[in-house]
Amino acid sequence: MRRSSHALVVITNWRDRTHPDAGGAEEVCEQLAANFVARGYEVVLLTSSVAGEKAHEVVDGYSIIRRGGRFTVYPWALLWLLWNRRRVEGIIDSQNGIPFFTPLAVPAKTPVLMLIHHVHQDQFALYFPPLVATAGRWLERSGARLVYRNRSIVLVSPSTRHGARRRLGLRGEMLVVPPGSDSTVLPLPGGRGRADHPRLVCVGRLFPHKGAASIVQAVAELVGEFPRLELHLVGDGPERPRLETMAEDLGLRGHVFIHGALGDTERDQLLRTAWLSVNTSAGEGGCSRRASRWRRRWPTPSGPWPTRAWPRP
Amino acid sequence: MADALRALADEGLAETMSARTRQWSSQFTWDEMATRVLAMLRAEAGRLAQSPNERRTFTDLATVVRLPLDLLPDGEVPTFRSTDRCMVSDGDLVVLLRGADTQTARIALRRAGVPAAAVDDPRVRITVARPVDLVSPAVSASPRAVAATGRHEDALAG
Repeated sequence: MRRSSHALVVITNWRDRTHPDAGGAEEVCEQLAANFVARGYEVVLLTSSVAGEKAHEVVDGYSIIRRGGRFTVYPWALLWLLWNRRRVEGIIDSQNGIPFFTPLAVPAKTPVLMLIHHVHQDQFALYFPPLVATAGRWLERSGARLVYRNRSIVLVSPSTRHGARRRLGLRGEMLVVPPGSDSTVLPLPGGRGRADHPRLVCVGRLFPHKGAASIVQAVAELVGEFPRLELHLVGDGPERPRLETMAEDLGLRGHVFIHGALGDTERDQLLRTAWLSVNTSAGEGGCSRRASRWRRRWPTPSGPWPTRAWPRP
Repeated sequence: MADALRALADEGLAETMSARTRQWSSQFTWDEMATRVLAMLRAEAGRLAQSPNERRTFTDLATVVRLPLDLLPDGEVPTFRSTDRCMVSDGDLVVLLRGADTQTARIALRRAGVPAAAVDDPRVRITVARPVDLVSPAVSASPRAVAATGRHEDALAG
């Protein structure tokens, strides 16, 4: 693989940042793409179609090619790679539950790195009927083992590495590489901005596996000791109505505030007032969002899931 | 979480933790991530180029080496593998060596250009990497940082 001079690196990821459900994995892929371009590489991001977005566009110097849907993006990407296999000098195969199985489409000597954000074995059953969930678990575990064999793997946290070895049984060499953060370190003299009463801020999309319900439940148990405790949820998703009902049922009016998606500035201002930023996500690996939160203000304890293995400052 | 909130009621402690948290997080940059991913991609290309004659085995074991900078001759900078992580912390060179046990680490140090006398110096610390070291070996390897973070980790353990 050439060190640059327009060597073509392909990144495969099921979504890009224009997708309505885009999250941390999409940010990682596109930050890597832009960074590779800045180093002289030619970069193509293969991803799924998004309504209203172009099938091909150039963003920050890299090409985004959008083909197929949630499931058909995988064969589309393999076809594209097969057609362009002589040009491709390296692949970052981003796994979001199901990898792209890119080694099937390129020569054996082409380097492929599987990029794993977290292990999804427990999530398939949350979103799919039993048969599809079983197929998903098989593809992530046994299917990946068959196709990737000894190919090297990049993981975003030690807990993801542990899961990839123990639960997925992947055999390749593994390197833990934490995601970056594009936030600047802001001076915060003398605690300026901190709320005068206990305030938790939780940033993340409101999906079942993100576990926001657990923090709402925790607040219900904590208000006895901390009567002015506030929880601010930043983010949107299908769990929102359930969380609103739950907060109401638990008598947490005045304690739980669901803001929906906020702009970066607004979100950061809220984070600066937090006593504690909380990550409740089940099985998340490292997450660039958490690194951003650290940089904005507070350490981020995680839920009772594998993320506990992530070190705290 | 209740323990954490009780601890953070102390504004002095909260400020200390805040400063440490921001210092900790400042090391995570997209540039660093891209550098390491590209290094791994190139290492993978090298591995495949040698295949099937490649006899190297790999292990998940990694080690953290902490070497006082004054042991290195002036102007000489050891050269480690691009997939190893190297940083300076508290006047020491801290290196995370992937796929190396504590004995192999000494060989790796010599190969990197560290003088044999420095490698065998009793002030050189070589320890097996813990999960936290895979993210940031410098912070965890620092005795001062360990002492400082211990209290915070206890406070946040709930």
